[in-house]
Amino acid sequence: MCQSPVGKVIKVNDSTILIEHKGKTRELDSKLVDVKVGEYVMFSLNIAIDKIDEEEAKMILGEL
Amino acid sequence: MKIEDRKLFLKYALPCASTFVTRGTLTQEHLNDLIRTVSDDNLPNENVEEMFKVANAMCKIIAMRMNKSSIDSEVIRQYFLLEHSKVVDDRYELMRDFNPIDCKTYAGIVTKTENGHAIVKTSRGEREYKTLFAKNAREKDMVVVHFDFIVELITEDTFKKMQTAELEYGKRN
Repeated sequence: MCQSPVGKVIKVNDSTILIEHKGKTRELDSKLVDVKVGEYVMFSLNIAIDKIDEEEAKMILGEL
Repeated sequence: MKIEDRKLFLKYALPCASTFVTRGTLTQEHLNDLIRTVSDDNLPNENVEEMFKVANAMCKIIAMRMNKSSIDSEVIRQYFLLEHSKVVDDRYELMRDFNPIDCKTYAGIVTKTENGHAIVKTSRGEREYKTLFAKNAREKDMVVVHFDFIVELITEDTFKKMQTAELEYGKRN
């Protein structure tokens, strides 16, 4: 395990964010990260755990 | 994290670092060095905990939930013994690129020890595990295992808690 899935931020709320992962959306608790729409996060369960750059995100998503 | 808590975190986390080797983000030699360092009751100079992003983040969340200012042994055990399986299964549902059975922690009883290894009986059956992180493990001891390692000896109370959590989690999923 250890490497978590990645999603693109599509909406930012007060304490949650909405991300898109492989065509599906998921609402995440965002207390550990500070992100903007269009950025990428790693997540586990329903928690955003870290912000990552677009290139690394696309490699994990298999888009590069 | 305090020194002893860092050591405990790494004993729980390092067994699954073989997945980093498989993915090419860590060499086998480096992993062997880290395992040797921790099994000698020392800490690596580098901040290896940061490599385990999921475990680190989940422990931070659990610490917040417990109103603790930092990750300690109680937090680490709460995550790896009682909350790790749901994290593993959720990730498996999304990515399906690893074996979730290997990745979970299990409570078990040592049935035999020999030359750095022990046979441990868990809900998965009897298998051989390395005793590098639990060199004092003896026959009939209750232990927690992760991947190919005995992580530490546990009390009968913790053993029962893990078994109950495993049964309840199994019923829900």
